Amino acid sequence: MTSEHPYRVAPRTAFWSRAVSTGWNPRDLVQGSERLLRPGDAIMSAGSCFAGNIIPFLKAAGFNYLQLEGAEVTGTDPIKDRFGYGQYSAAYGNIYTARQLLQLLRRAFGRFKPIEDRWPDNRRVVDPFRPGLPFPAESDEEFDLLLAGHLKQVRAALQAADVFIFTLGLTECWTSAVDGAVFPACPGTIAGSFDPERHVFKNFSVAEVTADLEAFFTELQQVNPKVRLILTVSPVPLVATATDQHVMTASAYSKSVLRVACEEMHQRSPEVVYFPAYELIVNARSGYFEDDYRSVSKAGVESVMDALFAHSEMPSASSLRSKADDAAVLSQGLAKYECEERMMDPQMSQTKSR
Amino acid sequence: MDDAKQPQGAACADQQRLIIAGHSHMVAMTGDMPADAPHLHTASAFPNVYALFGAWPRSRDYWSKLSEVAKEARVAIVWGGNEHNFFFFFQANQPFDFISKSVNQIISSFQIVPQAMVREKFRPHVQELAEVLAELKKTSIGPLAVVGTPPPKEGSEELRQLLKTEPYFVEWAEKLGKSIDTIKITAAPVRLKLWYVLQEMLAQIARDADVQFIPVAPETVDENGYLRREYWAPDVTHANAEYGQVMMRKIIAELS
Repeated sequence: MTSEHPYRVAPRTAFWSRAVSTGWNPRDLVQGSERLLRPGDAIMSAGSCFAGNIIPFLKAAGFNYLQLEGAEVTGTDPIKDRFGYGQYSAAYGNIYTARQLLQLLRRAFGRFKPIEDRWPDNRRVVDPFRPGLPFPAESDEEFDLLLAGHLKQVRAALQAADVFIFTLGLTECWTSAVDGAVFPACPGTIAGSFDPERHVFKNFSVAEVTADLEAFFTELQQVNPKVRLILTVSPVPLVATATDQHVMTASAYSKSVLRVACEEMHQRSPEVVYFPAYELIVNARSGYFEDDYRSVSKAGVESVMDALFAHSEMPSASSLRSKADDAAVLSQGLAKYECEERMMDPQMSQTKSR
Repeated sequence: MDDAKQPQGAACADQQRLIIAGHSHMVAMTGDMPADAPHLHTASAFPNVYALFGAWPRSRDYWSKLSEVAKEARVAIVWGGNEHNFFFFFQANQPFDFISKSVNQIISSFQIVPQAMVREKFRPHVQELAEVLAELKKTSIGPLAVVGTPPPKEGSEELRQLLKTEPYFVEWAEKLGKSIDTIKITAAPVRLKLWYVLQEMLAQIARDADVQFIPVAPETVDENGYLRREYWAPDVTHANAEYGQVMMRKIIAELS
C-alpha cells in the first residue's frame, strides 16, 4: 500500500518557493491559532535591548502593559536612562541571559542573594545588577531601601502578569566567581571595576539556557499559575564577544543556542510560545538593519509588531485613553494658578488666615 | 517711593538699603506686587526696605534691573520655593517616598525613589539662581543672601477646603475628570521631605556662590517641621504677611 508523501499535503508555508521567493508575508511566520495577546492581559516583559522596542507599541495599541516602577514618578529623562530602567515592568533594565532572569526571580522571592551585591564608588553605591541606573544610591542605607523597593515591585509584577514576554539576547556573560551571580554587563564597563579573580566569563550552552528557562517558568508558575510565557530571540548581534571567535561567528553561536533553547522549551512545555522576532528581522528579504548592520530599523520593529498584533486580539479604541499622570498636570496647574493669583491679588498677603 | 525718587546720595545710604527680590513668596514680606516693568518700591513697615517689583514670570530684565539697583545695597533673594508643590502637590499615580536626613520616616507601601532623582527634577528650576548670583556679584558689593521659602502646610483636609475656595481651579480639575473632594494630596511627610530637598539645594547654590543662606525662621515652623497654622495664607502654597514680618526681622538681623 502506498500513500502520498508528506510534502504533497504540506501547507504553502512549508515551501521556500511559495512562502519566501514568492508569496512572502511576514505574518505567516507566526504559527498557531491561539491569540498571543488579548485585551486586558496584564503584560510583563524583559530581555535584551530589543525587548524595549515593543513596549511603546503595546502601550500605544491600548494593551495593559504592567509598569510598577517607571519613569512616571519623576519624569526621568529618557536620554539619561540609556538602559531602559524606566520602561520595563519594573526597573531591572535590560536582561540579556536566561540565567540573569532566573536569578532576578529568585532574588525577588528571597531565594538568592548575591554576595557581591554593591559597588561603592566615591559618593555613590552602584548596583552591580543595575549598573547604569541614572541615579545610583548615595549611601548604603538608601541602597538597601531602593533595592528592597525594586525587588518588591519585581515580585508584584511577576505575580500580576497574565503574559510574560522574554526576549533572549545573549549566551555570553560575566559572573561572580563566588556564587555565579550574573552581571548584566562586564564589571568595569558601565560601572565597577574588573577583577579577574572575582569575575569569570561564561558562554552558555543550549542545555544550560534551556534548563534556566525551564526553571524560570516552573518557579514563575509556582507564584503565578495563570501566567503564559512568550519567548523571542533578539535579532541584534553581539556588540562584542569575549570568546576568541570573530564577533559574527560568536553572534551566530549565541543566536543559534537561544533559538534552539526556545524550541526545546516549546517542545517540553507546549503552552510556552515562541514568537519569531528573530526570523522576521534576520531573513534574506528584510533589509531591516541600519548601516551598522546591527541596529534594527524602525520599519523592522514595525514589521515585528504587525506580526504580533496580527496574531493578537486587539484592544478596542476606548482603551486608548491617555495614561498620563493627571496628578502632575494638576499640581503644575495649581502652583501656577496660585503664584499668578498671588501677583494679582494683594489681599493674599495681607489676609491672616483663620 | 519709586526709582525716580530713590536717594542718589551717599554710599552709606545705599549700604543701609535692603532690597527684597525674587518670586511669589516675597509677597508675604513686601506686600502687593504690581506686575509691570521692573522697578524698586518701598515695601513693608520696615524703614529703608525696598522690593523689586516686576512682571511675572521673572524675566532677564528683572534680574538685570536687580543688578543695576543693588550696587552697594543689601540684597535678599527669595527664589522659587514652590517646586515641591509644582511637581508633587497631588499624589502621583504611583505614590513615592525617598530617604531624607531631615525626616526620619519612610512610607514603605510607596515606591521608593532615589533622592537624586528628586533633585534632578528640581534642578532646572533652581539652577538659574546660580547665574543670577554670579551676575549680582559682579556689580554688588553689599551683602547678599538667599532666603529660605515657607515649609509645606500639613493638614490635607484643610488644604482640600482651601482648594475648594479656588473656583477657577475646581472647574479646571473637573474638566480633567478630577473632583477636589476625592483627589489625593501627596502625603504630608513626603511633601515635607521634598521641601527640605529644595531648601538644601538653595542653600548649596548660595554656598557655592559664597552667599549667605537665611533659612526659614524656626518660630514659623511647628514641632513636626510644617508651617505653623497662624502663618498660612488662604491658599495651599503661600505664607501670610505675619510670616513675612517674622522673616523680614530675621533678614534684617542677619544682614546687619
